[in-house]
Amino acid sequence: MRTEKNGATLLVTDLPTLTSDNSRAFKDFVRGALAPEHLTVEVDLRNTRSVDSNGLGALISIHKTICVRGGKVRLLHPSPLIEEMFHILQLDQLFEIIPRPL
Amino acid sequence: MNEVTKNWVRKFALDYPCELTSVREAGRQSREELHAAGLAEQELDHWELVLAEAGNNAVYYALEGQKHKPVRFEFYVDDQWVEARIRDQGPGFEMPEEVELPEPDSEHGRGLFLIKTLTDEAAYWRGKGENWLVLRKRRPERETPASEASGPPASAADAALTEQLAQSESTLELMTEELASAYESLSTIFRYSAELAEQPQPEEFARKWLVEVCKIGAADWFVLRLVNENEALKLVVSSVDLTGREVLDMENAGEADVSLEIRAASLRMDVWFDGTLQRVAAVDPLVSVTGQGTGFAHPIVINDRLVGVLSVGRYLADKPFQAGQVSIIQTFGDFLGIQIRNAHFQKQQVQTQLTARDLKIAADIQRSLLPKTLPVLPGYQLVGHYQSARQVGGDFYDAFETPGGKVLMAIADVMGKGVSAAMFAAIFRSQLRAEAERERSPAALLTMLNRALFADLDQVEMFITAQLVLFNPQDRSIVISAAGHPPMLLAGNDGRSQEVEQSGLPLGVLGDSVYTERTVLLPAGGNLLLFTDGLTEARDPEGQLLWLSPLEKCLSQGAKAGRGAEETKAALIAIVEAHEQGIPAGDDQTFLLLAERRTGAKNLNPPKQA
Repeated sequence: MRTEKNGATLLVTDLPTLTSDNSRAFKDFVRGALAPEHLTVEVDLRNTRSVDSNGLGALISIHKTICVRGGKVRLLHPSPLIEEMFHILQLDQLFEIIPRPL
Repeated sequence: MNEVTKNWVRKFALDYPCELTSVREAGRQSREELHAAGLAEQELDHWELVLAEAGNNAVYYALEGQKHKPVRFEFYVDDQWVEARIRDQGPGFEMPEEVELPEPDSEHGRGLFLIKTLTDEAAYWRGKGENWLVLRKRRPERETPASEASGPPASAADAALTEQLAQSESTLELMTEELASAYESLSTIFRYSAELAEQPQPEEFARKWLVEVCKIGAADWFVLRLVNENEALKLVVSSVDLTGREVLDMENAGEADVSLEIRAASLRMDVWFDGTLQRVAAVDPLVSVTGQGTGFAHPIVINDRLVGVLSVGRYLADKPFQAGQVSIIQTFGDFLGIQIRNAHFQKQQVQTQLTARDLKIAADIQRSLLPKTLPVLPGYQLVGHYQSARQVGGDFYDAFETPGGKVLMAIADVMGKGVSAAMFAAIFRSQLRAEAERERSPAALLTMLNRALFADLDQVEMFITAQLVLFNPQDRSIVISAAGHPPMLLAGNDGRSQEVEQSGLPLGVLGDSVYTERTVLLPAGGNLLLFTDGLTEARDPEGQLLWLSPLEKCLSQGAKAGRGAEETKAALIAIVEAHEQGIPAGDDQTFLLLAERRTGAKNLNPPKQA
């Protein structure tokens, strides 16, 4: 898990999974990296194999944190399965999802 | 939803530790196994997600004390369906028909929605301490190669009908299993109830029916213990030999290595066991007797009160019980516990009623034995006292005039309580009165009475202590004979007293006993006291006996002061009561008191009510 800071954007990468066993660590890690100037959190999911409901909960928690300051969470390039899950759970209305390139 | 009714092509199972970190690895292994079973990538993706959610829940909600048991995934695969069963050790939940999504910004509550959405059927079978989430998902239709195709292609309507039929069949299978389980439980209970009313021995009955329940539940053995009066688990019936381990003390229930039955009783929940429990084999009766099989100990709790523990098991560890079987055993165990407890309760009630009735009859007999009036002797006053203990005993006294103007006084104590003691007292009294008509001596009367009563007393291992005193007011002579009875007390108006003892075995000890007698004189202005040992053995709150001295002192003081018999009687009773300080008497207290009136005193007393 790594972060890159680019102006008002905090980018989170290297996330092989976002599941019950690391969702709390993920949440704490991102919150710790958030600076006052960050208005967007981008989570790069291109190499993420699995996300479960606990991982979703962590993303929603980050979403709520950033919303307070008028920001948003953007999910980058999730796998079709993960994208399908967001769709099933209607969370594609909560997060901005950038599809994986064909 | 049953592998018996479906012809599964492939079955496999995975156990993983009850930890979140193990869930993902379990999901990965399951994916590999399902891949080997021929599932397509999209199917695998969905199942991995579903299993992650189900696995997480199994870990999250596992009860403390049950986390040592692995979470189990079982899979059944054929061409049309994949069925996954996930075993958890949590409190269980009611599977809702429909699962609604939480508010968009809620961080929880989506797992079950995902599970239901990504599968076609979901059921949750609850057990105590073990539940199964059963999920089924229809497999995508394979493209049928032309060479395999037979007949004309089915129309869209046919395909829809086929689908509908398959779903109906599946639903029927599920309903059939549930109904079969319920029917087995109910029919067993009804049959049990019908027979219980005719069965006087609940324990034997429980054995018979536990054997049957084990057949229904496919168990190899059973052990039923009930909580006894000492709050320990006492063996009632068992199909295995638990000699030397009949009673389990629950005092050590908090320690780690106590038996499974005690843990189930202490936790008030089912405790499961399998081949991993070697460490408790040394101390656990179940494990040491039944080996490393599988099974569970089920606490029987009625109205929040522990009644007992039913344990059942199989000798092979790799054959766990199915939820339906567990349900039958649990239901029947609870019912059986209630019935046995009720049977014991009824038995106790009947016994209590019988005892109460016995005591009432005995008390009535006892009262009828006491003389309505006592002889009136010129210059003397005769009074009696009888105070029964809580349980009616065999004390009685009697006094009546015999030919020649003498008075025969008798006091006796039949060993034992209740009706039998009272009956012997009644026989003793009637025989005594009959034989005394012929003016026999006290010793001759006791010898005769012993011969007459010996066979009956010996048969029931009872005996009677007695004392007979023949008083002649003409010459003040007292002839005394005794059969194992405490001494007679005499006191004169000079303030001196004496114990007059006459040896002799109690009646009923030897059939040919011959009793002796001696003659003494009543001292001037004297008192004579016959009593039973309930008087001298009255206890104070510390358990100390009253003994003879206070009675002797009271008697001599009464004689010296010229008190009448009633006054001395009241003084004697007061001494005993003061000693007991409210402690209920442990034995009957009986005495007969003769007091000489002072010279010149008029006989104003009518015949006394005893």
